[in-house]
Amino acid sequence: MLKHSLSRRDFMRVLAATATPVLLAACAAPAAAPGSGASGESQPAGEIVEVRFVAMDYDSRMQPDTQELVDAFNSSQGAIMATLEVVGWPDGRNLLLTQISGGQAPDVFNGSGQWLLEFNAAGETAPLDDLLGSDFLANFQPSGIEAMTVEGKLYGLPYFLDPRGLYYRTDLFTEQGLKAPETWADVRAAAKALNSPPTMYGIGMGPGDYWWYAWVGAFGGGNNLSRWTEDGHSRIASEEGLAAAQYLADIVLTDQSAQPSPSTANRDSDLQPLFLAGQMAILETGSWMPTIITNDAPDLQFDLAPLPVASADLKHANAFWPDCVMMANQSKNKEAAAEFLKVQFNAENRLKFALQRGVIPERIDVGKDPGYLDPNDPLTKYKEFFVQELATAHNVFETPWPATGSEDDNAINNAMAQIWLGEKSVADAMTAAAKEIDERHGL
Amino acid sequence: MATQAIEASVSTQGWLRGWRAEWAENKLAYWLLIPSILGFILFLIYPIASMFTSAFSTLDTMGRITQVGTLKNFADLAGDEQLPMIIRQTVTFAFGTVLMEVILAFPLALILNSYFPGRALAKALILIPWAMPYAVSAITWKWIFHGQMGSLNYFLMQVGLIKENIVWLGSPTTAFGAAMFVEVWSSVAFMTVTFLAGLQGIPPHIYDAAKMDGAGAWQEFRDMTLPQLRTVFMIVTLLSIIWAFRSFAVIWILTKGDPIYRTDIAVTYLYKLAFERLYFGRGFALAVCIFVVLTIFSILYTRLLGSQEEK
Repeated sequence: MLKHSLSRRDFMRVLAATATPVLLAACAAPAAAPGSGASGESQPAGEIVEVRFVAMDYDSRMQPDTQELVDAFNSSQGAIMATLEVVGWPDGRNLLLTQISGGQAPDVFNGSGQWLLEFNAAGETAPLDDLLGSDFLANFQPSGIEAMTVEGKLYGLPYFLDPRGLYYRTDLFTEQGLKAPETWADVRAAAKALNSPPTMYGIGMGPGDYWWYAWVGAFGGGNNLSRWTEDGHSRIASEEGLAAAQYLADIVLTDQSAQPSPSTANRDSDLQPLFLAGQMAILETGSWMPTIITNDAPDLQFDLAPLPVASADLKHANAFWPDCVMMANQSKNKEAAAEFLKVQFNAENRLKFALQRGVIPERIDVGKDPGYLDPNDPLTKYKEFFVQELATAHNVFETPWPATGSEDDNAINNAMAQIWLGEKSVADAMTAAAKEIDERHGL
Repeated sequence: MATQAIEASVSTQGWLRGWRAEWAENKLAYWLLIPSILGFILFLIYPIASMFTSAFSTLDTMGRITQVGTLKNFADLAGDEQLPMIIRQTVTFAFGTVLMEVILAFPLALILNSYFPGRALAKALILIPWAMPYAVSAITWKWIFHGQMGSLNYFLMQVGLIKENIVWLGSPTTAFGAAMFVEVWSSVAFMTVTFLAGLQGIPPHIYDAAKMDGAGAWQEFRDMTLPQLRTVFMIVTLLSIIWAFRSFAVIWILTKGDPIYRTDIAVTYLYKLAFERLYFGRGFALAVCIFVVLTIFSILYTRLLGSQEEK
């Protein structure tokens, strides 16, 4: 029989030796310090450098389209090997948070401009100005570059810029003798006239974006559209802010011309499908909509108007929610990652991306490219509209409080939900939300 | 005093001798246990220790520990305006769903315990909701409840019970009710089957004896069936409460806790605190609170299970 000569003491030592590091690990900080690896250690000469790109998907073609770009990049040179991971938007932020906090951030990744501010506030995004050079950056729309700039440094490249517009059913408007809506009064009148639930809702309404459409409309183009005063206080309970919220409340509560339950409506999964199904007369949404209509509801008769304003004497205004590609401060291969970005963002690839996704190009040259503005393409007039809008659109992520952007948005969404549910008046809800936001910032 | 010390020493030496003998006899078995012990430490002790460490630490917006040793997260959580509502909703959800499950499952088990044509098929059918993954059930019901395109509104409209579509998942009351309904729908089968197993474990001869003593059906049920099922009832209820407390998927898929946190329960709110609002510290503090509550229920459950096995 096999004799086991391990003493009890030895056994305890083995157990202690194996268990102690694990227990110590449990008590230690679980991740690398922010910005570790920020210096960008270079690879030994001759070795292939790997660049990992994590992409949030916009549609079912995102994976193959982006893989094609990555493959082309890899085969065009032998020094850098780019790899791609496509993940869903809903899980993307958590995935990045986990990877960043675990010290395993991808070299480059795309995401919302809001994430850029959050990650940047935690010191996790790398500045791109020097890596990409001013000549390269001069090709981009200034509004897009400005949206990705924090304290004078560029931390992201605009990837998906999306000014918005008001889509309306031309056949229904013609039947009722209505003109394209320009003011809030026009919108309310048309929505009321066309509202016939449950087969037809006058206008689509939801949280988030829809407050912004009213906000920019309350001030009008050429005016200060920021939600913040110069000293960082929230302006959402200002006279214009209350007027914007009142306009949304009137549509939902007084006119009852929106679809039911706007506080939980989702633009992409609730409102756009209703418009496509011919059950909604007016819908404010993004530049991608003409492409979707052409593909999914080609017989729908529609046209596009600028976002409405509070009164006829105001110029129309627009807003955009920029997505961007960021570089992780943890990346050890920043120069290689920058080379990948230069190819990803060259005119040819961005033209492809704009056509594939129905998105407005962030490169000035692509916005003018005949390949993008094809005179024979029925969608060209919409593209031209959005390219023009982008030049003056307001970046909704602009804030002096980058780390709390999501929380500040939540306060507004919750206030609008309380108004729509009839729990609070416009003044009470917006004043309380402004107070909550200011208190969060110690004001 | 000296006698006590000697007794203690003798007792320790006795224990050591016993342990040594035990070790000599089973040392291979102990060696073979090491991977399991390591797995236990790595996959259970480590996450729990990590959760407690984080709960008592300051964390940045990426969830990284910046300073250990603070109660700030618990203080922040206690000051959270939404917390009282979340606790109310969690308790309502957990106990409400379990109560409804009991009300439905017990009669179902009684029916399935009797003999009727198609009984085997009925048993199989009743298991389907339980066999379906929670996510699949929740997605299916989300579409059934959909305000504009859902089949529930269509059906109610066809039979004339409603004239306008109801957005079931849009208002706080109906959305919370819908979430509870889906939880009950998914879980009632487990409770039914467990009750049925309990019913089938009751020896038939006690009913024969009761009949001979002139007991009626109601007396049999009250005095024989219910007392015999008491422990099974307690076990299954506790287990269901624990599961309901952890019911993330149903609520997240159906409502994401909206509108304005009115359908959130503790686990969904925890997720929002940490991953949406980036208050990781507060999230860990809430995780510790949930852990403590569920541990209490788990201890009760284990004790009940032990007493049942002893019987």
